[in-house]
Amino acid sequence: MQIENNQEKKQKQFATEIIPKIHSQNLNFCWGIGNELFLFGGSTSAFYCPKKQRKEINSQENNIYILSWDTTNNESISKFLSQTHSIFVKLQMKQNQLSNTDTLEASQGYRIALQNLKQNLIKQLDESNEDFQLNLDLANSVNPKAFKDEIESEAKLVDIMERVFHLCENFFLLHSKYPSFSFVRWFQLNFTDQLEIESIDTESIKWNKICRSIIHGKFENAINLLAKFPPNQTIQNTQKILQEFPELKYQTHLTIYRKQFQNWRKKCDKIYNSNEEIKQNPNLSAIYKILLGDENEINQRTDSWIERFASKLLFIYPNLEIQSFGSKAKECFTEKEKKERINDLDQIYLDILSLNTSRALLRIYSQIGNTWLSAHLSDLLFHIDSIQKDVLPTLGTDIREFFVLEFCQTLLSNPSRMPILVDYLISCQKMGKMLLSEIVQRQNIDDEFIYKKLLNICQNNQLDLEYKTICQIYGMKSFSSHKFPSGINALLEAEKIEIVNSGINRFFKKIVSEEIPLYQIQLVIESLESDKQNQTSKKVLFLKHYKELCEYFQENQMDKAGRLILEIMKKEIAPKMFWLTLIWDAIVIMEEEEKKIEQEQFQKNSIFNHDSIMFFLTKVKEITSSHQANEYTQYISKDQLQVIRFNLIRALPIRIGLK
Amino acid sequence: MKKLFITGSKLRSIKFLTRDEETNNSIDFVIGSWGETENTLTFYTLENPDMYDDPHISQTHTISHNGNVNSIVTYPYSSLNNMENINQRPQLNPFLLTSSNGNVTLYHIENLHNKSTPNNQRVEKIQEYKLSKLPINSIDIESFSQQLISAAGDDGNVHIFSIEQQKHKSSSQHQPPPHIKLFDIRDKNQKPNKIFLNKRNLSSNYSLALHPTNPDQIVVGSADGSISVWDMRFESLEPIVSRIHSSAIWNLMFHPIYSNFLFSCSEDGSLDRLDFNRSTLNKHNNSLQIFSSSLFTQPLAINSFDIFADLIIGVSDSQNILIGNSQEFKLN
Repeated sequence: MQIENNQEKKQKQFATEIIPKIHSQNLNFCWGIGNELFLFGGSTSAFYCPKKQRKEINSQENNIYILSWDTTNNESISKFLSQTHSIFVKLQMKQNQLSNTDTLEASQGYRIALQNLKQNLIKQLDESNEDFQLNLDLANSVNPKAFKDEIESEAKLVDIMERVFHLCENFFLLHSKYPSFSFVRWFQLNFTDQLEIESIDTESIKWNKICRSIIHGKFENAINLLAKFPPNQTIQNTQKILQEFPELKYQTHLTIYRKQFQNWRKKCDKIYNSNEEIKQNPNLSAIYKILLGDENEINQRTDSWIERFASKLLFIYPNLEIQSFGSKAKECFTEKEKKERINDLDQIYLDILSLNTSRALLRIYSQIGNTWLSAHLSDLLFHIDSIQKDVLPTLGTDIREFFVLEFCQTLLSNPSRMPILVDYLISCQKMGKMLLSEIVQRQNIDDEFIYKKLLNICQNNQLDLEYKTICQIYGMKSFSSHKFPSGINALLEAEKIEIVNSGINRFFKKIVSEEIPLYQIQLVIESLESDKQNQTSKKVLFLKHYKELCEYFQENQMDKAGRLILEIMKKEIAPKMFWLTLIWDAIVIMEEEEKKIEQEQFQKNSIFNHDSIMFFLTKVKEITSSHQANEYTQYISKDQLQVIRFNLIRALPIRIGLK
Repeated sequence: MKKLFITGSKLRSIKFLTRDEETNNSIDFVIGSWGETENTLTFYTLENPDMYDDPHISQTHTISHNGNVNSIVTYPYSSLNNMENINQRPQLNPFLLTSSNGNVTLYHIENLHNKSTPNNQRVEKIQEYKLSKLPINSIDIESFSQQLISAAGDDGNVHIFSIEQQKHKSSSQHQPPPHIKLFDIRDKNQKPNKIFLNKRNLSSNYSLALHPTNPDQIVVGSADGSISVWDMRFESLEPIVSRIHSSAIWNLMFHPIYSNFLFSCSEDGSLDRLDFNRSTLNKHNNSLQIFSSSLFTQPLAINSFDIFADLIIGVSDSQNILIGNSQEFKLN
């Protein structure tokens, strides 16, 4: 069967102008990960462009375009990928303890998945045909014929994939000691249809069907077809000889089989040579010639090399050794077929029969263009030691890893396949881990759910640096959405203390500019306290004091509040951005004090003495004359600053003599 | 009975829609996806649920959804009496879902199984509430009057609203460190009445289950795969802790009938049943040796599950719907 050359298909795709001219001068590109190409108007274009010709770059020309392909969201394919992913993971988990049963189960699992995929695609096509009939708008917006062609070609591809898998399963796993049997069995299941007798079949058609059944090794069919003829001794003898054909089953010992086959051949020869009716009847003669392995007769009655080869394996060399399969298969090509180019699929079959699995896989990859098949088949063959395991210089890695990584590139094109992708990458050791590291850091961490999943991936695969990077990204995102406790925790995990400090400063700015509930401050304190290395101890201390101060104000404990303000300021615990706010609060307390009527009480209970006022004045001067004065005074208005100065100067003489 | 059903997308949340009081030959449920280029809400019907060996599951309807479907809760029909367009008692419970785009959406199911009904009328979006710019992760309905709805998300706010009364208020409660807070919504201060913090284990909490018969007992699932059992009467009493899974516990639920069974699903790909009756307490380190058994083990995370009578259905990142009998478990 001819299959489309995938290379030509891709070339046609890229020949089309996909993106209109996006840059007036020059278009640059760089490859992303997976099926991604980044296109942008390069800055180098402006650099090399002569000044006279340099135009103003409009905003569109600053865009970066991402071109990607094979981004199919087909539900059937998603299901298929999920199903085969489970099989793949099981194989890797049992890697060192794989039995033949395990690999056979895996191969059969893959084939079932392929069969399911084909059924789902056909079902999808039927359902979409109904939809198109019911919904004209849909039919107008989507080209039904193009959709149908696409699904049908997918289904054909799946057929091919299943056949290739089946051949490898039969040849290498199931009947590896009996290659003839395995090939014939494969041929029978994949290339022969049930031949049914119609009541209107002419005699010649009946004989033709009998011959075809015999050539295909379906003797039951031939016997049943012969029974439609008027019974006579010759027919009965022919039926008997067909019944007695020694079928090679996988339990049969080869030596025993050889004897059985020879005996049967002798019997066949005897019947043919002793019966004139057979020799005179061209149809019966043809049958016996086939049974006796007449190459010319077989060649005449067969259409393709596969059919020819299967027949010869049945009747000419049933004990053919596996090493000779490739050469004998090639001999089955007619002269005409040899002159024409052997199609890609036949090349793949020949490579498998010649035990050149690496070449077969490379052909699958380049000619069929299906990375799923090359990846999973190479993995399976790798586990049963039927493929090269050494590093190939042209690929830079062993063949299995190369194909699995190529498959991963295809998975990458659809971001929703990330969880599946991880397991494939891990199975590729070094290169896979490197790629995983890149991919994990490029994921959008939209919420904590995804954040946790990514951290889990990093932890399970010893990606320590990437773990910290993800924590850092999430932490910074949290800060930008004012989720300070989350951000602090994440950044402490990332060991990015400098960013934590920067985040805390943002939190400080928020405190000083807005009214923040106390429990939020408490949460930030608790987050910072989880830092075992105590790198933010000073900030924690200030926050604790500040919270305490707020509580004193709420409970109207002004004297304690005042003393705390002094303590915070004198021990330089408070950041400078808070100084003016704290001094303002101190002035409020001072005014409260001055309201007390009795001088004696005032003198005894005063919190702020002359030295305190001088201290505050010094601090005000320090702030306002600093080169960062604008930054520190932005949270307080100019009027308020004037009020502070005025009140401090006014309070100074009142507090002379107070201790 | 154990069955896997493969869908085409990663699954985040699942909820049974069939009303408990009806006896059914079929059971309906809805599943929400996440992380896909186009997320969906997909409705399924499980026919002959008593046929434990081979239940038949069919996809009934699909609608697309903007954002990840984070959680789903059924909303009592009786609370929708005053709403327009809700005339007859619907076949299945309406439901609310929360989304990664900060919305909470109320859906009404009219004729789910009637294929002659136009697609956009089988499941209708009644109202959408924009609560936040950040994802809303969880939602629940007040059990007594079934009027008030509370939703919480990544913005650190707890949103309390009523569909009928159109009232909404929110209070800010940033999560970490992993507190458990008990609020009384009648308290105008919006402060928690009690705060519980496990100082020995500061892993984030991702799931919570209230004991169906003992209102003082809650179980919390953490990011490190451990569960903590709290007594809500004693704020300072440390919880009993037990390590169940090797990774974050996404969902916890007590069996509605057999309250000694607690079910949990985790990022490690397992869905377990924990038997409290057969568990033993180690008083020295306040840990619980829990007798657990597995129903499912998946290569990827199991994100959520729901229980209806003996049926348990889980959903996973492997794109699988896992159907099992909550009474049949393989021992660990």
